[in-house]
Amino acid sequence: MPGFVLLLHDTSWHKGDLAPAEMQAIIARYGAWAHGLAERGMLRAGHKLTDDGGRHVRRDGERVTATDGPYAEAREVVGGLFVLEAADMAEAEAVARTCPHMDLGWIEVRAIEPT
Amino acid sequence: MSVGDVAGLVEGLFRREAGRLTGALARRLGPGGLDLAEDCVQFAMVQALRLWPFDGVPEEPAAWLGRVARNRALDEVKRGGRDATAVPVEALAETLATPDAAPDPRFAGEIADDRLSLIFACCHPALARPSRVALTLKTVCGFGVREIARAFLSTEPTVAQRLVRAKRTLAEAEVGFEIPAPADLPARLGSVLEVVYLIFAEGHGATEGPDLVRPDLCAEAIGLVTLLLSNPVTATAEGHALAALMCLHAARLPARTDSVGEILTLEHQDRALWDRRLIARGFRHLEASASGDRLTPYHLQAAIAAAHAAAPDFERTDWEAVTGHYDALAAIDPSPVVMLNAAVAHAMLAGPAAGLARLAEAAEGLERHHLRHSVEGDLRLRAGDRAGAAGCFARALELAGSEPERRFLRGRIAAVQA
Repeated sequence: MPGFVLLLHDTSWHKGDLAPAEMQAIIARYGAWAHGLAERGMLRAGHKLTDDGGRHVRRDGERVTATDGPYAEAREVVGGLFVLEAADMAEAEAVARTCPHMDLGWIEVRAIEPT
Repeated sequence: MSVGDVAGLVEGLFRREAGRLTGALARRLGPGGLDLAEDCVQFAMVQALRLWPFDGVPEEPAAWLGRVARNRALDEVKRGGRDATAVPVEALAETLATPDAAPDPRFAGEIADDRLSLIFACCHPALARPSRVALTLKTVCGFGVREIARAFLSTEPTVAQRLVRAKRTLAEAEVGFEIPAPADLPARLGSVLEVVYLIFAEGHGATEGPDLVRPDLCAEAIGLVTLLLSNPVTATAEGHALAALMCLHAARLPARTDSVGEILTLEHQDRALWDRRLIARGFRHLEASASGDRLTPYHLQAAIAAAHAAAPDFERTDWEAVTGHYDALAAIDPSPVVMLNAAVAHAMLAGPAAGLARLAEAAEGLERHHLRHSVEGDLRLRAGDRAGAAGCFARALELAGSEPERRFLRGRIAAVQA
């Protein structure tokens, strides 16, 4: 089955507007969502990325430079990702639509080039 | 732990832990530390929200949250970003480093005290009553600003402002987080019981808006009084009386609205739907409240509720006892609801004319109260005065605050005119 990547872009929700019960509800929904995917054999992996912006490494002519990436709070960076198996983009998109991350930001769905 | 594993996430965990951890941190940070305590707890929960969906819920979620919150507090204090704490950094580091005591029953008393201390601070007399209620709901009960605004028909910015001002007032007054000294305890306890009662009353019969009943608010109120009663220092006969009245009233909630959400008065409730366990609990509290020499309004309200709970139906209620209690209550707490209920009770004991007479006596100050006209309408109807009844219901409809109540009154008007 083809692979797809869900890149979770965070918007600035982490200033803490959510009430404790709301946060717990989102976590519980994540559990149900991921559990459902795992049962259908669709979930390959899920990873949270660290909040620092990482490093950006570039070649500029002869030189290679590396700079700090933007800190997570500064703009909408990718906070985490899921790797899925799905029949096609339509199915991957359908999965993304139901992901609880939709309450917290937006999702970029990318297909992995088949080998 | 893996993606999707949320087995450890029991109902209400975050909300409960929010209160518990805020209390624990505030107590260690000292006067002025409430803001920082809340922020650290919020930080921990946001971290959980960002990590647990990927890592799964840890085996001891409460301990995880506590650790993250405490470390955050330590970092913030060391950074010097908040100088609103009275305790020096080194001492703070030591107290904050104590491992979380959540699962160990030996520390149960300590944990309860953390929450109790927080309740007393939030109900401090320096704060306006609505602020005490909002602050208690937010910091002790873990409600969100949106939920509080909805419950008390305010707006989010108003509630948020109220909370900011309340915390500032507490900081400026250097209110500490401890159970008050014996000399101050009675007055401070009175304030706490009052806040608990206000929360319950709002949940039991939301005065305005689309919901008549908010069982979650009632449950919170009962939880708070239970906490008070769990500590011998703060457990009083009056507290038991309040617990009794809340349990007995809450027991009737399942029967209070019918299948389409319309109000059913006590007279028409299906008593088979009453929660028998809550009633039993209410009676236990009532027994425990029968000590000391103070007869408080809570005692009398509890006695009235007990009379209703013990009666197989409305007609066979011990109306003589009920009217006696209402008369005593009216003498010390002549609030509109008490006067109205007293009139109804007298009508049940001695006929509608007796009820109307009581109502006329108490008319002062009740003119703009919709229930007064609704009750008078019922009594007039019972006395055979249909025209008078219709007029009363119409007046009540003009004044009614909640949608269920308006629907109820329209129904009454239609029935009278039929």
